[in-house]
Amino acid sequence: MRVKTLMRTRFSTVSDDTPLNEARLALAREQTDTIPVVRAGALIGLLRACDIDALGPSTVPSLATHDWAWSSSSLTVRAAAIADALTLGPEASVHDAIRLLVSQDLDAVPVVESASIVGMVTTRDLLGVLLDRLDSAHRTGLDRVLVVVDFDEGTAAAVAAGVALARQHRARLTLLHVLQARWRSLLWPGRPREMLDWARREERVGRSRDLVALVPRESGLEVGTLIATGGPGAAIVAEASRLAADLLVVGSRPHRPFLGRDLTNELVERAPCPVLVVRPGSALGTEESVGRAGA
Amino acid sequence: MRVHDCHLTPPLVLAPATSLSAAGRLIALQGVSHAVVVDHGRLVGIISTRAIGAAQPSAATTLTMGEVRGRLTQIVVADVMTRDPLVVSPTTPLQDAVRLMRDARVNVLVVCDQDRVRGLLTANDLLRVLLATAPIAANP
Repeated sequence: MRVKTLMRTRFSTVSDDTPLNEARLALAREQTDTIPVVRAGALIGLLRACDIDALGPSTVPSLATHDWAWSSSSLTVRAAAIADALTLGPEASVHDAIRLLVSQDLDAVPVVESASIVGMVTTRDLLGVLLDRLDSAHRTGLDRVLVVVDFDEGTAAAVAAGVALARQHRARLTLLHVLQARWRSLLWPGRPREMLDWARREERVGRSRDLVALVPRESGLEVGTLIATGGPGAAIVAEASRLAADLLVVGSRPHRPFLGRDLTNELVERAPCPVLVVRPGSALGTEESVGRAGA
Repeated sequence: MRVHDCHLTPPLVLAPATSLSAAGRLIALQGVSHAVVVDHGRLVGIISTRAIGAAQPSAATTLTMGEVRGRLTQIVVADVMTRDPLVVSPTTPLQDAVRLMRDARVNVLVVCDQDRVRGLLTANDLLRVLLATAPIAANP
């Protein structure tokens, strides 16, 4: 994308001998913070609202009372304008425009062609471009997919579905495993606390490693891993809300009809986003089927 | 994309009773354009370099340099700050934040997570997001 396609071509200018008061009005009328300063059609500088503010009397009443001698009528744009402003050519890339705006901390850059100013690129207009891009990305669907991993038989299908969906929608993928608080001393009465802590830590590290290993590195996806503790339903719902997940993917658990279905139902009822339940070996998990669906 | 997915500017936090001269020095030292004003853990306002610049007396002041310096140590951030700045949460969709910033004609939003200030989302942060989006990068 080139600067010429997004610059605004209708803009006001001020001359360097314009009284500062008039320039201030022009800035207010244009609802902008930066206005180009021209002499005989050629750009000679930029006038920023903040420079006018800094030049003028104090905004604090106790100081402003001593500014009584200040009179804006005698000042012209020349007193506040920045000379030798940086400019862009119409063929410059939007990339260059953004770099210039960010590095110089400006909110508008003039576009100049053969010594005369032809347009202005403003931060505001660029935010509009970003907004269009975000809106169109949003319409295509998902932004963050959260896959619940219990390392049971449904895991492979759920992860494969998550990977396929994340890739298709260019979404971020997060794998979540919930450690159940089974180290509580009922099973191991009398064990020292340090030992339980150590075992818990080891399990956490091990599970983290297992999660990372689930997604092949060459998938090119941005994959995050998360280990939560506590009751699975509550922990998953809490993480899904914290991450603002757009889709929760869980594997179904046919072998544990009672427990498995219970958790799935709980998630469907309480999750802050839609829940996709994937049967082991179901078709969504394969890349080709998603590819066909997307085509 | 959500607000917490983009790089946020770490906030410079000032108390409302910070003097204007100290605030100016701190902001310049950090090289930032805004600082948040927090009173007892609660966000009360935001102060910009522009507001600090506008508070300085003009060249035509009848005060001496010493008097100006003295008064600037008595004026506090709370006198000059913008009260009730625009706030977004880390999980706000980014397009809502961009729309808010564009429509309200501001350059900065405060990112708060349950009353705690997490960072500032500046227009420059958003321009960097635009820089990172693929289509622009692909066709320079």
